Amino acid sequence: MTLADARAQFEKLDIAFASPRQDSAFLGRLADWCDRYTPLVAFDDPDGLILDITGCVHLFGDEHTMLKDIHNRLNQQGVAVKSAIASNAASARAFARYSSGGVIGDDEEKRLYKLHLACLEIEAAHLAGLKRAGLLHVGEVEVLPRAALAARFGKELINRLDSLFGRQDQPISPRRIVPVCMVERRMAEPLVVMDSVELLLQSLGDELFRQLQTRVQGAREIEASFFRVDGNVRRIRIESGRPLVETKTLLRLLKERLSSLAEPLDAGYGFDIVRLSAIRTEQTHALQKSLDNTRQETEAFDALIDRLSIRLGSSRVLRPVAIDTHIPERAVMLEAAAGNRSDQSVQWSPEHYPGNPPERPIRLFNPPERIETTSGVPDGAPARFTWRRVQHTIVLAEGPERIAPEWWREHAGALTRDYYRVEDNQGKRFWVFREGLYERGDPTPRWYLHGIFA
Amino acid sequence: MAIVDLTALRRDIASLNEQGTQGVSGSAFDLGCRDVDGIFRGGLQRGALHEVFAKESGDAGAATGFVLALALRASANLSPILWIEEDFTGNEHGFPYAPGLHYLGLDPERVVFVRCSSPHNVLKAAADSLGIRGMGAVIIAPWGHPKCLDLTASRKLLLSAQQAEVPAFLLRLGAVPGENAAVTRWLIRAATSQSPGANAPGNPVFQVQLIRNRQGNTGQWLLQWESENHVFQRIEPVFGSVVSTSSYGSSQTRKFAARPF
Repeated sequence: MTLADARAQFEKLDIAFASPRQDSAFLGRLADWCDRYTPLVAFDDPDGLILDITGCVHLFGDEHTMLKDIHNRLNQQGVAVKSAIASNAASARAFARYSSGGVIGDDEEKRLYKLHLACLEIEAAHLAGLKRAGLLHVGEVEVLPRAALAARFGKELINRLDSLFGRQDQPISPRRIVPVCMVERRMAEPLVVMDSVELLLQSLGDELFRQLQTRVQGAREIEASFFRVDGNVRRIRIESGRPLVETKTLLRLLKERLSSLAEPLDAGYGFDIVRLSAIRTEQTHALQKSLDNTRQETEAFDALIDRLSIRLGSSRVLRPVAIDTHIPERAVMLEAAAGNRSDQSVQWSPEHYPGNPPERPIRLFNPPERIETTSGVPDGAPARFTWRRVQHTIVLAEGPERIAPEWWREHAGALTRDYYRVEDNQGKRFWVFREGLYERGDPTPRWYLHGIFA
Repeated sequence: MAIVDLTALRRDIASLNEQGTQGVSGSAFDLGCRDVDGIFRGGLQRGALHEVFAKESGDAGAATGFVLALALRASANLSPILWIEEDFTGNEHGFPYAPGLHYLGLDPERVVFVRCSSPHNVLKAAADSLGIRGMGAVIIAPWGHPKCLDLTASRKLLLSAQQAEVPAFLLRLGAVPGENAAVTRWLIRAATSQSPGANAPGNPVFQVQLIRNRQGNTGQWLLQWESENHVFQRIEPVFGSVVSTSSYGSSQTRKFAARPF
């Protein structure tokens, strides 16, 4: 039916443009929300969700109550739901989409037999072929010889039948990482006051760490999820450099994170579920307090690094790592200080003779800054240069230190650089380079200032 | 049965004690240069706030080097050094370069860089890190004259530095000296190095002006940093063709030179 036809029939027709992007975003939010029933939630294209509720049902009583709860809560949010609980994902999908749904009990096979063939979701041509043969329901196809079916309608049909009847395992891929360990509290009355949320987190943290302790583990990554009554789910993730084993530290990190959120945690109408899950854990070793203070001091320092990393972001608290290359800007890599220290096999300055002046600047410009130079000798160090509108007259110069581009990683355009350590008449020391070889004939080679020395 | 040589043991212990008193001893540190250390009675305070300024924008490298050298003098071997810097400082004067720090005598494995987007964050991170016992030194590098770095803020920094006995160094680039709670204030400019030959620049030399000293007199010196054994060495200023006359004998220099000490 075209829009004009529809409007002719119903005068007061509301029109909204289809927006697949917004739909899928909404589905994502719904999936987040469904996390309250099971950690294993997967998308079921194009517009469904699959929940693996194995082992979660007893929390709600039985399957009927659980399904009713899902319907009630989603209806409250203004979502119309079709659903089914069955023994496997494919069959649940078929029942939800092609029958009245509900909880499918022991007579699952019998009811599958009665489903229309459309629920196999095979190609339209094949479906039409089956219809022409007078087959209308799953049961009529299921009893036919498989070899003949496969020969006539393709392997796809057999696969679909197999997964529908649970003969073929079809794992779902959950959206989120399944936590190692999680604890949660469901409230009859939603929590509105942030102080009580904090108290709750405290007791949840105690519980979580008690569980982890029995496995001799500490948490490297913890996620706190706050399920709001109106369906909004807020997750706050915390990473730490050392495995966390204490509620006190966790709460301090959480508070740090909460205070630095761009969009603060808003209780709104209240939270009805608060959950802590340990996403990543690590074995902890029973720590004995050492006699001197060194270990306590290291621990205090590590805790500081964690706190700063959470407040400013782990990309802002950095530790230098030497890289085996001559290209100055690549010779040092900055890695997050909160993570594990990567193996340091490269020396910082292998060719340095103690007592010699520094060969690398204390501050490096990235990218290097263009300078205007006047050279005494065409292929030598500059006699004077202008940088940031100030002219520097060179008195001392050493070089060139020739650094060739790494042909195995650069594109063809990269040029060899000739580096000079220079000092001007006021004692300021710079690291400048000429791009490209003088011999190769560029009459006006480009000069850059790459760093400043102490 | 092994016989314990008591005298050897005593000697060992005595030598350990001696090592402890070098450079870093308890609550004070020195520069390793007798001429300068003489004016600090009992050395520079370790748990305190020291402030270092660059004379001109081009002296940023020298000021950074001097701060690093102070931090090395003030911190025990292998203790961590936290380098808190505002993004703008890095954009303007280049980012601290680990290989270069190594050439000045600092093992880069000891450093953790903290990059902050605002001076407010710089101060907050600094306040947190100064409370950590066992921290070697904290270098704090905001840019220019941030409003939040006032007398109160610097007093707070000083207090937390004193409480945990962590040396704090304010590296002020793009700023001119003003009043705050720092116990010493240094004005650094680069000075002509002593060429080791072949017309090459030598070890870093600083024109150091101590413009505030709560413990005593002020003064100015020409100091060279020896990265090999972590000491400053005084250099006699060379008045010659190499140094332009304008950089010495300015009115301000004369004023300081005239002060009795």
